[in-house]
Amino acid sequence: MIPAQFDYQRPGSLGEAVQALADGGEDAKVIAGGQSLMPLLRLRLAYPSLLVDIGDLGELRGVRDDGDALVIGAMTTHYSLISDPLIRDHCGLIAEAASTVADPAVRHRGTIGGSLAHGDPAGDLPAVMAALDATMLATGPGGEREIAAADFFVDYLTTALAPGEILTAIRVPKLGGWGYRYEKFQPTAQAWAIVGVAALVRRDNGHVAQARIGLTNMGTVPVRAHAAEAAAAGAAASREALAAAAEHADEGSAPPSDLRAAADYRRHLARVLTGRALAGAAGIG
Amino acid sequence: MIPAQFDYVRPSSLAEAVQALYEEAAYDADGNLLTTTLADYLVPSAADLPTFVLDRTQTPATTNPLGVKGVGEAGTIASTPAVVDAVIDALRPLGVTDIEMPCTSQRVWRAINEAKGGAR
Repeated sequence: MIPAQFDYQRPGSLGEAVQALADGGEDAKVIAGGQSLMPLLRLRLAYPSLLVDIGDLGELRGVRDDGDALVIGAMTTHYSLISDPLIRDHCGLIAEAASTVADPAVRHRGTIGGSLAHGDPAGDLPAVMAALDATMLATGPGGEREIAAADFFVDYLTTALAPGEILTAIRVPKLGGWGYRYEKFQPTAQAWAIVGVAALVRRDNGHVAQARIGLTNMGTVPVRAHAAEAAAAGAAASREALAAAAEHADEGSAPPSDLRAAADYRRHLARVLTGRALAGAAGIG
Repeated sequence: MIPAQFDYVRPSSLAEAVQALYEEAAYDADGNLLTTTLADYLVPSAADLPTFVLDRTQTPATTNPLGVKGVGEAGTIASTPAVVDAVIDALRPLGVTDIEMPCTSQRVWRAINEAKGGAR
């Protein structure tokens, strides 16, 4: 299908982009890699009056070292995340999850900022950001502000970004001492996750000192499996103990029922995948 | 026969076999088609498929002077029930004797649960 008519601007600086968005009003949208927005345009599920293309904003690309954190530019592609040495050395969970996104063509065009600002709970990176307690950096007419991942995802396809605000970067903690694993269950290699689990585990000898778990596609937003995190903390670093903790993975979630899976099957998958992800992150799976 | 063309077409028709695991034209209660895009109506890619070992049996047709026959969908016709049979064979120890196509992971999970008496 052909998208509805829209105006198009490609500003050369962040300031110009913010101004263009502000002038465009509530129906103006940012377009980055276009891998989520363009299908919505084509299906006429979105009707923006103006697209502000941030493809020329080179300052939004790439990863930089920021002490005990990394700052990832919003225009950094999935492919760049997979091959970036800073990500590999300090936050491998992001590379592992990004390598499962769709297919190579999408990974070369799609960006981390676009994936997060789109706010689809079936996307792989939102749950990773929830597990990492990442911080979103946004710039709008009023200047820059920080939004915690826990506050960023508000509802299905809805984030805390105000009209006129652009997600410019994501700050993630370096994972010294943490193991990680992203487990994803999908019907075909290129399909969306039916359920995904991002797990981080910090070990203390034979025990789990701390666990952080983010769930993909288990609600209208990416959710943290707090009950399973609490059950895993202090548990023995064994498959059995972590599988027992993972039995709590779906507690407090409200998974959708759709064409691909009913809610009870998603709950089952969340428990099984969390057990595998915890074991992998603990270095025993 | 053109052997290269024959070998070329068969992996793609064999690929249709794994469609037994998820191919479905699904409708809602009002009769609206739900699988309207290739993101919903799943299509297998090379990443979903094993390596095939190909062989040929050659039996010329007797109904035309050239002895030719079409082979384009031969792989599909035989391989799809083979995949379903394999699923049922794997579940047979649990007492499962039938499963509807497509044998999605959810359907297999439900069949296992029902065979176990509805346990979680």
